Amino acid sequence: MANVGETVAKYVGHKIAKIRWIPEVQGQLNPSKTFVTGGWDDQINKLSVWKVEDTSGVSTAAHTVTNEPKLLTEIDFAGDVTDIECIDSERILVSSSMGSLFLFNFNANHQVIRPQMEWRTIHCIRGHSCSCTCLATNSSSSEIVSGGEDGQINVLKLDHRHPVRTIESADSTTINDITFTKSNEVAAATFGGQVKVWDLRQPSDKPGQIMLLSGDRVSLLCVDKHPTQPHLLAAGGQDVWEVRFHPLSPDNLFTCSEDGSLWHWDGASVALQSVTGIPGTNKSFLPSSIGNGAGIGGGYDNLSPWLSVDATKHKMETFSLLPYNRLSINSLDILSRHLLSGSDCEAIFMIKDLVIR
Amino acid sequence: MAANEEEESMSGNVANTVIPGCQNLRGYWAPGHRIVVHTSEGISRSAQNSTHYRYPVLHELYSWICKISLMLSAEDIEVLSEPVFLILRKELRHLLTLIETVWHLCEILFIETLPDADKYVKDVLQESNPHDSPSYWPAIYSLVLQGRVNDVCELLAQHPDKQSRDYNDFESMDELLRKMPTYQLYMGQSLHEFTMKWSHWQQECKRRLENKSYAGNPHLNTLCRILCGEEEVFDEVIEYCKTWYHLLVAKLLYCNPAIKSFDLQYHTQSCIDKIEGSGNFDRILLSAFEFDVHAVIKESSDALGNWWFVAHLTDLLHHCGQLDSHHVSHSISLREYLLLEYAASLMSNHSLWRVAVDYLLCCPVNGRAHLVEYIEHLPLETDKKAMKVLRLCEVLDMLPQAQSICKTMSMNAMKAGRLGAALAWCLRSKYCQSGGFSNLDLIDNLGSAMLLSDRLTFLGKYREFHKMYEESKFHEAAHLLISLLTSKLAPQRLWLTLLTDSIPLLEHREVIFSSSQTYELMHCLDEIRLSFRTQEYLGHPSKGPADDRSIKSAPMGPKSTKAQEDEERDKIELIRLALARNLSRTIL
Repeated sequence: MANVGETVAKYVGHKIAKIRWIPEVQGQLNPSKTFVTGGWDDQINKLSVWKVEDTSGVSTAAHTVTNEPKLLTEIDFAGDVTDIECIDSERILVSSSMGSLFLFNFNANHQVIRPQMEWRTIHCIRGHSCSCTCLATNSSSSEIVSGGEDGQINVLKLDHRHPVRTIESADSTTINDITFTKSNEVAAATFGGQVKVWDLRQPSDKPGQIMLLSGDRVSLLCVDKHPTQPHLLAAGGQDVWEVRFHPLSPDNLFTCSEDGSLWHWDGASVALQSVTGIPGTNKSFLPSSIGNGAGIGGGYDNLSPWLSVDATKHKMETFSLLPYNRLSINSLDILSRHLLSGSDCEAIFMIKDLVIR
Repeated sequence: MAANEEEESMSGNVANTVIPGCQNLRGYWAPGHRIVVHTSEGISRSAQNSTHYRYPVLHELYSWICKISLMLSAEDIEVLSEPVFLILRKELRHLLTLIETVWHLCEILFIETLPDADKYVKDVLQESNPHDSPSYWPAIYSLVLQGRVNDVCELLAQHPDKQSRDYNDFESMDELLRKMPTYQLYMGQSLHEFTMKWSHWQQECKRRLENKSYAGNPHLNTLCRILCGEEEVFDEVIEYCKTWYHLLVAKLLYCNPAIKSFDLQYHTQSCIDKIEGSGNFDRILLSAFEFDVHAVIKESSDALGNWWFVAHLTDLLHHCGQLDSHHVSHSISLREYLLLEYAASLMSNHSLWRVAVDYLLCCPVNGRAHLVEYIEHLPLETDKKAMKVLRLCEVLDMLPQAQSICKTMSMNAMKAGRLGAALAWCLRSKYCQSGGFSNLDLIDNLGSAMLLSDRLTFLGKYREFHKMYEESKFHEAAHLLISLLTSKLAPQRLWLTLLTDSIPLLEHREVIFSSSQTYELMHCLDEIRLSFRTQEYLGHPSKGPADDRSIKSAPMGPKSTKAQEDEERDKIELIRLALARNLSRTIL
């Protein structure tokens, strides 16, 4: 165990499907004190907003439990929460297993959260709603994209009550995760094991690029883009529920999976040694290029540890952040040095003061 | 050892948390639900202040009472959110940890719910002149009856008479209380040694009482009579004992601190008579005092209407070796029976199925069978849940169930017209790769129904071929194979499979295929290679004419990889070689 300051567990009483920091100010990467969680697998699920108590300077009295996040407000949610994205400190987008997408408004002063807008049943199969599995926002435009079990991608705008565009058969299987790679380009990971990229400016519904992991057919569950190099994507398959680059130190990657593991992949060590190395594991992989396909292999790419694939040398250091955990970690989010994760054992784990190089 | 080690190893990455709904329960919460060690500031505090368990048998008595008092919490827990169960799992490996956990848990519950004493103390401390409070003496009596002598001393110190400089009756009482011997369980003190000290100390108490040291203060006098263990005095202070077991503890502490645990039952009845008690709870306690484990379990299951407590208690006792193999029926032990019942109650909750799985896995005889049934009936609302259940099946090596989940999801997708998703789920199951027949019973007994469709005829005949081969009727088998191929009954995309089937017959030591039959086979092979355009045939087996039906038979998926193509090519070469050799043998 290295690199970890303190682990705080908060028992919440329902399974957590998604967990996200709420940014303090839009676009800022400063540490935040509030976060939002969404539950799943219950008849009535919860969307909850939490606050991390500031304990600096306050001596921890014997009876107060240290550093535990405090529940600010919560609201009942129909169906499972499947994905959450925060546009800013007030507007929170939530997708549901009933096929709808909601915009919630969180008022920090009054500590209330309430629904502001609903795009009802934007994902359905033959008239029956099906799960809207993922959504993504775009910081540079007001566009939102959502993917679902119907294999559709919807493009939404906050000021439009209906999707502005629907890519109908984006994939013949379920779209498990979606992300904006550039301001007008989205990448989706599918149950069939492909990563497909669409340029939203093109009228065609055909993806601009399809990537398939060679070898075993592994269904992909999540995808995240490199924060500074948009041609780099990380995707998790098999049982990895979420993969995240550190927003400021993208040489650090975090994954969580069904077997309960929460891992910190420290690529910085590789970068420092300028030794190539990416783990040859089926858990997570990085196709070496997406997007325009050009600009790969240039000098500056060698700076990224994720591109120098050398399966024979397992130089990548990984740290298990929750070594005793057994039940699935469904979601994680990292901002600054604090990592949040939500789990099927009905708890939130907050790992504070990670050492990030 | 285990407990300490566990705590230490966890303290680094485990956080302190409050179990919701139980303000007086605090625990180290281990990630996952593997182990929870209940310790907290609260416990160590009460452990210091409470002297109960420093006395030999009282220690054990308390442990029993505490175990029982868990029932209080069980009742709470019904009201609580169910997931508290998560925390109280019985998977604790080490016996010690187990006992410690429950022990601590009960201790808090029991001691912190002690009636009145703390309430009195609170009242007293709110006054500016504590000794003027009407609760002052009741507080002292209650504390003394609970054996919390240090607290008593502190309260007495608040009295103005004690604060005067001279040696007086207050000072004398303080001295007595401080000298009260405590049983050093962990210091290797022998019981005999303790009994000696105790009787010396009580002798001194009696001497001071006889010397009328406390004649000036009736309260101190009563206090001293309690310390002396006078039977009658307990009737006078009975109002400070809420329940008969409080009275029992107080009486035993001062009258008979070294009592043997098996003698307890003789003292309980008199206490019960003094303070009425005949509820379910009292009956459970009585059974415990009588060391009748089965009665405790039976009473508890009757009284609590919830399997949580009895299942865990029985499991605990089972692991302690306290439970002789008591069977409810000829196969299931009481422990397993209760665990199954409890798991069933968990399964009835929408989101607790995963917890129930762990309980079922602890049932050695029927757990797995029940689990299979439950898993097959779990609702799979979303792909995500299906994948979670599928993963669980794979981990538990329950392949038929894993296959059935894939099939269900595939069928659902097919019904919804989503062939891609259906195919993906099929591939996920990975079972189509084995070449075995499914539903053999049906195929073998097709009879005349076989003629309903060409495809069905082929299926039936193909199965017949395999049966003949198994029965070593090689010539008939060869004949059938040829007729299947030449009559064009076999769909062309399966020709390669049929030809592969012919290899063992071709290589058999006696010549089976005649030269003309061999020519037929070679002709078929050529047809595959030439007229059917090998590339397309091999490259996209599922893009055949019957797209949807081919899902089941497509051996490699929609797009075969380079490796698979090579494999097929090798197969063709192999067949050609076998055919050529066979031909040369027939000519010779």
